[in-house]
Amino acid sequence: MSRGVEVLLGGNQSTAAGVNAAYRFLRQRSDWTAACVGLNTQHFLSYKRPIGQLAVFYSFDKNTAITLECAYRTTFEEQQSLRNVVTDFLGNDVSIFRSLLTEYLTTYVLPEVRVGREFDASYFAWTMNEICEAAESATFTAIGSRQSRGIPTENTLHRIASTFWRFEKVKSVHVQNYRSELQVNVLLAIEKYDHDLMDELFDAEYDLRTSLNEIVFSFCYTPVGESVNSDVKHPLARALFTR
Amino acid sequence: MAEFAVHIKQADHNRQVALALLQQEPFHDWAITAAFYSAIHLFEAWLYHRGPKHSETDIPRDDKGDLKFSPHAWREKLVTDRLPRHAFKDYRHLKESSETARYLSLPRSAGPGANWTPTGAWEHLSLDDARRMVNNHLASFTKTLDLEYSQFIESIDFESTVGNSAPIVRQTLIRDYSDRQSLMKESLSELRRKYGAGVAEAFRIAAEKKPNTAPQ
Repeated sequence: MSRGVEVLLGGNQSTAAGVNAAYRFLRQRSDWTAACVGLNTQHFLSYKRPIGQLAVFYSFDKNTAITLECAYRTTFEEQQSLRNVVTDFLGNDVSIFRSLLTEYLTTYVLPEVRVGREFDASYFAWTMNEICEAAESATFTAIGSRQSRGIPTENTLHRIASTFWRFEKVKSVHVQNYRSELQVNVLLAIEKYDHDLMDELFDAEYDLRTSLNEIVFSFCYTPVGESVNSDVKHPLARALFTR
Repeated sequence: MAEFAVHIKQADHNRQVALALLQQEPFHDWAITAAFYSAIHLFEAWLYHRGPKHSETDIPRDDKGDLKFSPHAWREKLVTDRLPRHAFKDYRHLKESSETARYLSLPRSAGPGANWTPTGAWEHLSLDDARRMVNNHLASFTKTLDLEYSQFIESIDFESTVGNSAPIVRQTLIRDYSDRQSLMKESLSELRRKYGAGVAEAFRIAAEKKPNTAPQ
């Protein structure tokens, strides 16, 4: 039985937006047995396998990453290998797709979840049959909308404060939200650039960034000398400590 | 945003500016800014074949379509997540010192009327500081990124053999091989087996034009 295939439009400058659009599309078509959508911001590959027909849509728009186009559409016979059809289309070995799609999960989907983006792919069937054996475990729970992103917990703020408290030259630490990132403004009692101090601060910053990976930070170290300024902080910034 | 080759050229251009400014004391403070913008282009070139392609188009958006993070913050997250600690520190040294050199204070961190350092940037950052940024941190960052392999892959004309799949092929080859030497150890038949006839053919053509410069 042959069946029409629709172009999957997930094109967007945001990877997750593209995937979510694709996901919504797929959810509306539960009678289709397998689906795989993905790659990244610039590369979209969609594959649907209703009974008796295959369509592959691939687009590469090097300038905008927005335009998707139908690059290939065909029907294939039951006895024709799905692998061969795709291989013919791209002229590449299918291992490229297997590895890319597997990597896609860890490189693109999981980071989106980690930064708190609402993402529910629990029904997302990553079954490319002969093409891709991977990723049936692709179940990611939407936790983002229930988290107050950009508003760190008190424990997080305490951790930031205690990290910088041990540096004698740190006069104060303020935090403020900007968009969804957390800006950490560290005022330094230095009048000349202190390379060794900065080196230690960057080590501490790296530890914070990697251990609190779900937060997108912006650190700023401002030299203020020895003078005490009462107006060094933005009205909306919150002081973690001053001394 | 730019193509890979443009990022490379701009990075080199900015580095040359930095080196020239180091010879022009007291304008050495601007060498740091030139060095930082060299580092940005180097990282964008590195990223070009590794997924996001451009950090700025990779920034997540909220439900209204607005960017959730500033470009610098998102790029720093990519640097943190994808490069080793020492490269992160090289990048941060360049960024932070260049911002200090340009602003001394950042408007976002203070209200009006704040008193800041009593000196100008060229005094706050010594010539030695500037030299260290260019000669140590930028050089180290450049070495870590090792863009020679990316440049080699970029030079192979996959477009003529695999068409629109060329970007994916480049990404895959850069991910699968750590450097050019490891790729050169592969035979064409092995590359054909792994990536298909089109990929092997592109290497064959490249090797034909310049023997011993591509797998054969």
